[in-house]
Amino acid sequence: MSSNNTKILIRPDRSAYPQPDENGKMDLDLSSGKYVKIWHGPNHPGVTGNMSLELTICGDEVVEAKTHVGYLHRGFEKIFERRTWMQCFPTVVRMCVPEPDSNEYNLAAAMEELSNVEVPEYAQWMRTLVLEMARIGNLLRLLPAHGGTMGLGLGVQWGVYLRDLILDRFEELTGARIYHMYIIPGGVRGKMPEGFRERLISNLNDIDDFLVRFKRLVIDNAVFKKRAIGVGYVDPSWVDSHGVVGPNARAAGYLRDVRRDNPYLVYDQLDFETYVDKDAASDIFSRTWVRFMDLKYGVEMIRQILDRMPKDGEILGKIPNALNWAIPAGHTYVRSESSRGEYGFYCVSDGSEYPRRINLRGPSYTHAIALLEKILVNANISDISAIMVSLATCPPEIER
Amino acid sequence: MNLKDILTPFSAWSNIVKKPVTVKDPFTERPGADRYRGFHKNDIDACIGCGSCEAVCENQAIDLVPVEGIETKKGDSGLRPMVDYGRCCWCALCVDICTTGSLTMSNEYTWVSDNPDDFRFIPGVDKKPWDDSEKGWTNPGYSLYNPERVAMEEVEGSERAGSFIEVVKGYSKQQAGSRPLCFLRHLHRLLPGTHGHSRLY
Repeated sequence: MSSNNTKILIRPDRSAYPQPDENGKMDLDLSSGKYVKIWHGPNHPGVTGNMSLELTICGDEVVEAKTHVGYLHRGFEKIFERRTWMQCFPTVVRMCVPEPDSNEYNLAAAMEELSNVEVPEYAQWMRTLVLEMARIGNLLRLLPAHGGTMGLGLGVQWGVYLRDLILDRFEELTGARIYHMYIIPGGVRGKMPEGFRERLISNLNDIDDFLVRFKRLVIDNAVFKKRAIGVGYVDPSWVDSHGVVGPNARAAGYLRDVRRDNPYLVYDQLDFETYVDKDAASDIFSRTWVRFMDLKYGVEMIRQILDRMPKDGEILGKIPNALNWAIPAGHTYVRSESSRGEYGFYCVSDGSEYPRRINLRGPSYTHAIALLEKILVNANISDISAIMVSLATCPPEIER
Repeated sequence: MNLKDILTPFSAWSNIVKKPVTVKDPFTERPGADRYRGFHKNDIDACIGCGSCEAVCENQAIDLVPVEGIETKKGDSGLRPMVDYGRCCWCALCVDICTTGSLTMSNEYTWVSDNPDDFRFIPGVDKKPWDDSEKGWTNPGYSLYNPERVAMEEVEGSERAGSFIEVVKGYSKQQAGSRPLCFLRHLHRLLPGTHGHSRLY
C-alpha cells in the first residue's frame, strides 16, 4: 500500500512568506503583528513525552519551529561514570521507557565484547525473543497513536489492551512489566516459564486479529487518509544528511535495518522480511503503514523464534564477580534495531570497574531535532502532533 | 477515497456485543507473577551481613545496620540489610549477588501506609505480610557473586624496585569490597551514633 502522495500532495503558494537565508535562518519581524510565538509542550497531550516546540506561526501555519529539551533533568551518561559497569545495568533501561530492552542488550553486548565473555546459545535466543517482544509491545502503543493524534482514539485503547497482554508475558518471564532488566551482561536472567510459549502464541493470535480490525478502523478510515496523506513529508534526500533511520527511513524508500545490515544475536538464523515503501511516499500515512507491516512481521518473527529456539540451555556465561567486574581498556560501538531504528551505544573503558564513557546514539535525537524542525515548517498547527508521533520520538533518549 | 473508506470504521461497533476486558481494580485481586520482583524478604539466620547487597546497589537503597537480638555466629558481622523503598528500583541485583542466598524478593507489590518511615525497614526483622510468601524472585538459578580471587595489579619490575607504588595502589575499592570479610568496612557503624546513611568508608 502506498499513499501515492505525488497526486494528492497539496502545496500552497507560500511565495509571500518569509524565506530562510542561505544559513537556513529565518529573519522574522515579530513586531510586525503578523506572527505569534506559541509553546507546544512540554505538558501537552500531543507531545511525545517531555519535550517542547517553540513555534512561530502565521495564521495557522508554522513558519519556524525549534525543539527544546531539558524537562527531564536526567543526565544518564554522567551518572554512568559514577556507577560500576554492573550498576549501569539497572539504569540504562530508563533511557527509553516504552522499549527498554534495546538499552539492556547494547550495554550487555558492549561489556561482553570488551571482556571477551561468551554468551550461551539459549541465552542468545532468549535475548532475540525479548527484543522482538519489546518491538511489538512498543508498536502496539505507537501504531494506534498515529490515529490517536487525529482524534481516532479507539485504536489506542485496543492497542493498549494488547500491549498489556505482552507486558503480562514480560512480567512472568522477566519479573517486571516495564523495566524488565532481563538481558544481563553475560546472558539472561531466567528460563522460559512453564506454559509461557502457549500463552504468548495466544497473544500473537490476538494481535493478528487486531491488525485486521485496526486496518479497517484507522488505516482505511477516510478521516485518517485525508489528514495523513501528503502531510509531514520527509524528502528522501534528507535520509543520509539528517541521519534518518528505521521505519522513517524505510518510508522514504531506504532499506535500513540493523538486523539485516549488521546481524547480531541469532538474526542471521531467521528468515524475516523488512517492509520498505517502494514509492518513497514518506508522509505520515506511509510511516504508519511501515509500522503496521513491522508489527505484522514482528509477530511472524516471534512465532519463528519459538519454533526454532532450543528448548533448554545455559542462561549465563562465565562472568567475573559483578562487584569488581573491571572491563579491559578499550572502546566499542554496538548497535541494534529498536522499533524506532538504529540504537547504538559507544562505550569506552579505561580498564577500571567504572565506565569512562557510555554514549547513546538514539534515533530520537536526529528525528526530533534536526528533522522535525525542518518538516514542521509550513505545516498546519493541527498536524503538529501527528507529525511528531509519526517520527516516533522518545525525549529521554535526547536528554540522556 | 471512496464510500468504503467512510463505512469500514463503523465495523468497530461489533465490539458492543463483546464482554469488556478491563479488570475492576481494586475489587479484583491480581497477584504478581511467580517470579515478580516485589518487596524483599530475608532469612535472618542465614544472612551473615556481608554487605554485598549494599555494595552492588546502584541507588544506595540498602544500608547495613546493627540488629538487636540476633545471635552472631562466626563470620557474621551482626549487621542486617535495611531497604529504603524510596530509593529501591526493584532490579534484584542484591538478590543475585547475595553470598548466602538469604535475601530474596516476594511477588507482593501492593502496600499502603500513611507513614513514610514504614517504607524503610529491615526485611526479616520487621515483620511484613509477605514474609511467608513462596513466590517472587527467589532462586534465579545463577549467582553474580564469584569468589574467585582477583590478582593484584603489578607494575614493571624496574618500577617496583625503585618504589612502593605497587603496594600503595594495591586493590581498588571495588576489588577490596568484594573480598570475604568485606564487612570489616562496616565496623565503624557498630560504634554508637555512626550507623545509618554514613558512607565514609
